[in-house]
Amino acid sequence: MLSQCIESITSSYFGLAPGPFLALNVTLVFLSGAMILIAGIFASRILKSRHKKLADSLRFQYQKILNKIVVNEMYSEGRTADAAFEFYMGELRLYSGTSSLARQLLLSQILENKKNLTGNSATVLVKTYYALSLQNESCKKLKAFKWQEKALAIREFAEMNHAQSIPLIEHYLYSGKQNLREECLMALVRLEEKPLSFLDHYKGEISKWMRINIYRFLQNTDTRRLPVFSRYFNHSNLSVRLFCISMARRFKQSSSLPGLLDLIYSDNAQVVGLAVSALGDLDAYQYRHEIARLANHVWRFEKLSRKVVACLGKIGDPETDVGLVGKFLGHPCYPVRFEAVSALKKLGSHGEKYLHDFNLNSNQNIKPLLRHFSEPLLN
Amino acid sequence: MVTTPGDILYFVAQTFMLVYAVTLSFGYLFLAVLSAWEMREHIFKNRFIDYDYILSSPFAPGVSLIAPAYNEGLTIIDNIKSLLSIMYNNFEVIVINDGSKDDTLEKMISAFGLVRVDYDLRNALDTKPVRGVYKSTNRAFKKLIVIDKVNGGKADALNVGLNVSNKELVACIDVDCIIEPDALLKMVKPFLENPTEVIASGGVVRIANSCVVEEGRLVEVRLPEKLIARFQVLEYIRAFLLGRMAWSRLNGLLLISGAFGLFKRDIAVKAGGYNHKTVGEDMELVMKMRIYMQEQNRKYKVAFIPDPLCWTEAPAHYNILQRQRNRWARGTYECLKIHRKIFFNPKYGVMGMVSYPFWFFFEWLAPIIEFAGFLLFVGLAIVGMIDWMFFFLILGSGYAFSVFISMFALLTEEMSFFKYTQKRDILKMILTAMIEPFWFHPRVVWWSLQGNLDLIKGKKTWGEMTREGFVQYRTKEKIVTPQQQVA
Repeated sequence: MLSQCIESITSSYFGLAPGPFLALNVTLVFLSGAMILIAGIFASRILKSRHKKLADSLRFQYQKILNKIVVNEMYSEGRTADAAFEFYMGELRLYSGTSSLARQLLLSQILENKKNLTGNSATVLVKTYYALSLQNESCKKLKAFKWQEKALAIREFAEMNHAQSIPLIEHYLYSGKQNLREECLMALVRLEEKPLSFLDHYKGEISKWMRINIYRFLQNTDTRRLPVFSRYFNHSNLSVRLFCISMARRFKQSSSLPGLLDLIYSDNAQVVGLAVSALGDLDAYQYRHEIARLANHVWRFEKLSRKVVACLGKIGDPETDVGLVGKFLGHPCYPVRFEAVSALKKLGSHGEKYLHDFNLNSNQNIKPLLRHFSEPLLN
Repeated sequence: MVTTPGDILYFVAQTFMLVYAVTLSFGYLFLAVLSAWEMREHIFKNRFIDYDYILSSPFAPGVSLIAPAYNEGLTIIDNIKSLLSIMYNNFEVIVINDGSKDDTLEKMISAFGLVRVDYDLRNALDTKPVRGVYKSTNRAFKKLIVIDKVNGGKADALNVGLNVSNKELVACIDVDCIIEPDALLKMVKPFLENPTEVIASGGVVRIANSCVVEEGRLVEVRLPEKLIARFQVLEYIRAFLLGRMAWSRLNGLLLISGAFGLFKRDIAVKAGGYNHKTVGEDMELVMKMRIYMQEQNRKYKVAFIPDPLCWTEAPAHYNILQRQRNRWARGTYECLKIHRKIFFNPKYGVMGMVSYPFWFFFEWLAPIIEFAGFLLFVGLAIVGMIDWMFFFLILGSGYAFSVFISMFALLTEEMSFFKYTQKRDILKMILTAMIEPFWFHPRVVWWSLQGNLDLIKGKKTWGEMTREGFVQYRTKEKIVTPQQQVA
């Protein structure tokens, strides 16, 4: 029935059988598609170039004014500070007008400038943001449908210290979009009065990427404002625990040492490994016996063995721990043996003597490793 | 009405060709749309990322750049300097002189003040003997390690690099490629952000012919002047932007280009490293790593970055291109043969059920079926069984589809990375896309067929790959061609 119908249509309109008719249609569809795409390419290029021209000219104007605001140019013209600021705000309002593109460009320009500034210069840019009521733009974006808009709004709030928006931002902490979650997390780190207090009830993942971002921010924070990371060592969320151990290690929080010691008895190998490395980095000599005891139980785990041996190389007792570290010279995994030689070298003359005796008396050939470690260009 | 065996054969052959072509077209269309969507997401995501954070972070993983070199005396010094100046903090450059017959090693020794050191090589992977390990006495080059070994091929050299590396990640690269300064930062990112373990990440490789290169850095992107290179530009855009991005989204990516790929060292070693018995060692490693993870029941991901991160010089002569494509065809078949156990094997997930069959039917088998179709057409034409009207319409639809996909790729490029900014570049590319199906594609099919024939003959070699050198080097104010440089 259907084939008869098609046949009648094609033969009556084109004089074609169904096969050629279909082929003709496919050709026409794809050729028209290709033409549309070509038009799209040209249109995209024209629009891009127009947008660039407009954006460049606006950015140029904005930057001129922002430069004056940042360097406090008001005094040279004999105006009062407030009057000059108002004047520049008026100019910015004039250029940005009511166009959302122009206002967004202004916002981006302010953010871009603020990124590289601190002190009064950064403060005056924040003041500009509020004076132009740009927080309303950010609010609008936060309510937008697209996640990209929301993420941009959250970043703007965070950069402009808009602490009132914390309840709004928190709403997206468990969003399905990874970027939105990340922006939200970073905003909370920046905006909360006590940094990282949201971790108390945080259930999400802190990826290595977020660790890098948060660490970068905390590096520029007054260390007195940093939380005591050991507070979170028993957090129910593993990624929070790992994050806090690594932060305690990086910020050399010696108050975390007892907490770190407890963690070496954890049933999670990652936590134990990180805690052991942290104890080594924090020069926790007082806990070397505990680490030595742990060394007797880690033989089966390559990564953990390496970390424990490296830790003993840093904080171990040269007289008593040399034998224990030396045992790892017979470990089946090369990286552990390598680490053991390195640790023994760090344990000074006792370690050196142990290596020398081991080399003479053992069947195991560690000569290449010893030569490697005595090569100055490799160490 | 079907009556004779000849008619039945005719009907079966025709139907098979039609079904195959339609499936292939739908497959490519699906991948193209998925890629475009994924790329859009990637671009949006990247607006919020400051890669410099990785640069200065103590949490950034260590990376070993492994670059095998064979008879690269002419350009090796510039190439190594370019690698050493890459934007990353925790990295080392391991250059493996794979038994070069020219003065590659001597040049490196004198340029970087290298001396032989007693390096304890762990032999996690079997390789040809290492003759010596060299380090620089100049602290400025402390990140450089040079290994001199007996010639064993690219895979063998890369395995030596895997043995020497002490870092968490290894970037295997072609020493003559130009790597974007921020390439490592971008490639490392997926390893940091994914909750699922990322075992490898690959980036887009672009064609550098006619681009302006200054001291190992690409300073100006230009469309190649030669048509043969322009065809390859189009091919690469299509393959990388419209293919691999989608496979990555489906977590079914089987190939990370040997020119630039980043791998988790321990997984690469545990999986057995590079296989020197195949000329498709890059694809084979990814497949092997994936199989290892599947068999360990570990969740994993192979990531792909659509940003242009690596620029390579494409063959500028048909005979050299022929050797390359011949090798690619052999490499594909060898990889598929080595891992045939995963073919439609549900144990291997997307890789076994989708990626491998797709590669088998639509990458390896495509030129063979295309050629068989051509033979069928010739046979039918001789016996006068061709409906010429239908033939031209079918040919037209194939052509239209090909141009459509190329335009889709060009539009994607235009709206994403926009590397070819000159107005006439886009016109040239549109024209290239229009003539490619007649001029370039048949040759590629023929070379792939030759590759398969060479496989039957037992050919195992790479085939000589001579390069012209980057067409333009700018020294101070004036542009200098390689010929002028030699003069």
